[in-house]
Amino acid sequence: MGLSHVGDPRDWAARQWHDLAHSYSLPTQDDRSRLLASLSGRRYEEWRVAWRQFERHPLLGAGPDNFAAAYLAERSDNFHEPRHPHSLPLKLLSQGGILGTGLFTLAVVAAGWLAGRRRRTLDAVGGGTVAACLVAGAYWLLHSSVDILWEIPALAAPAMGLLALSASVERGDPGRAEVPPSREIASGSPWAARRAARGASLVGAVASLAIAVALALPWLSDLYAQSGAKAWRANPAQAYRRLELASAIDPLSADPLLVEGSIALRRREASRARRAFLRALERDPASWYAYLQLALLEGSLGHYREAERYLAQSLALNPNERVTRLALRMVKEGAPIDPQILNRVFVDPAFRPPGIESYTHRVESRP
Amino acid sequence: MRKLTVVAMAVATALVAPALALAAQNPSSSVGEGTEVQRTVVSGVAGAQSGGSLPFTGFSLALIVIVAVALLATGFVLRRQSRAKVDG
Repeated sequence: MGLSHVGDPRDWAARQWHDLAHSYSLPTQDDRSRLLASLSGRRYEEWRVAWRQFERHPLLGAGPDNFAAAYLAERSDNFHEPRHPHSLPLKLLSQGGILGTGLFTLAVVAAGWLAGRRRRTLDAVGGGTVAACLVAGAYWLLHSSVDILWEIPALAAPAMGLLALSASVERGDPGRAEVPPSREIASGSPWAARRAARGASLVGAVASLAIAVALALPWLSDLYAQSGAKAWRANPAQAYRRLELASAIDPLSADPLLVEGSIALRRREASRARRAFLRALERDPASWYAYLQLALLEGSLGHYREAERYLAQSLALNPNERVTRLALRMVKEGAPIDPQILNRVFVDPAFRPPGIESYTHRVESRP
Repeated sequence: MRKLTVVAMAVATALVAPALALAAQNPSSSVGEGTEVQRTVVSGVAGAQSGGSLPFTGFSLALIVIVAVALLATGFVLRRQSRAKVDG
């Protein structure tokens, strides 16, 4: 029945490979299973970019979550801007290099090896529990090789937790449970064991708090940035205060400064806008948007030479961006630059890029 | 020291939970920096609060706190009950 649905399996495989390797977007109105539907999309191009990133940084990778800028520099369209490469192995290789991938693999293999050893010593219930935890973790790893699962904490955390659990299931022996492992060790040297346990607890507590603070500060900063963005029409001074606070809370993020600069540009506050975008570039030198907004600002003031310089820097980071290309053409022709009009392209559905339609013609060339 | 670790873990969980929820919003989004910033600016609404407090931004912290407290309480009760049975 399945064969009648897809026809000749070789033709089906050839079609799927063509769709995968020649990225384009097809409407997803197909009511068939996703496994039988087209594999069209952007994954192949994302994987290609990630692999090239790995080739450039084989040992240590480009650093965690440093994919978006590399993709923008190499993309072949002007509408797809992913942040992650839809593949955990390629993410590990491109962002963690051989070293990061090796450490991750070591952790997973160690969990599997320990789980296998424990399973042999457990009864049917314990062994089944270990197997269930292992299967869940293994499925997550398999699926994440072609999808974005690592970036969804609600999926990644349980998967990693189950893997860890599979390696640490204990036999339900009440006599053994009464004796904590630390006390078993302590039988030889109670003071040394107690000191080691205290040290481990302290390190664990400090590490937990440090991780929590590192995650909570960006969240708080984002709340203030959103709040400032909502307040700017009614109370610009309050909006700027909140954006400054957001910027101070997360000194690594350029986002609050980009919002502040964009608001200032709309309010025609040139010096504030310029200062905000330049500060944003200090934090994120790969922000093509900051360069573009600086160009629009200088262009609107008639400073065409500076505008052209900023546009060239923006295009070097994001060569296919439509607004930047349009602005460059206007600057070269000496046309008046209105940042508000050009920035409308980003949000107005009337300016939706024709990219999706232009790619669908490739459907005709499918085998 | 054990209590300190438990408190630290509880505080860490309380801090991490909303941050993770925020991070989990849409990792597969392919919207670019330009669209994102401009959307944020354009969505600014008139009549924002004039006071010093933050306006509601759409994330109900109270619910998360209630769930976290309930989970912690369940854990403590389960642990105490199981220990009592083993001792008995």
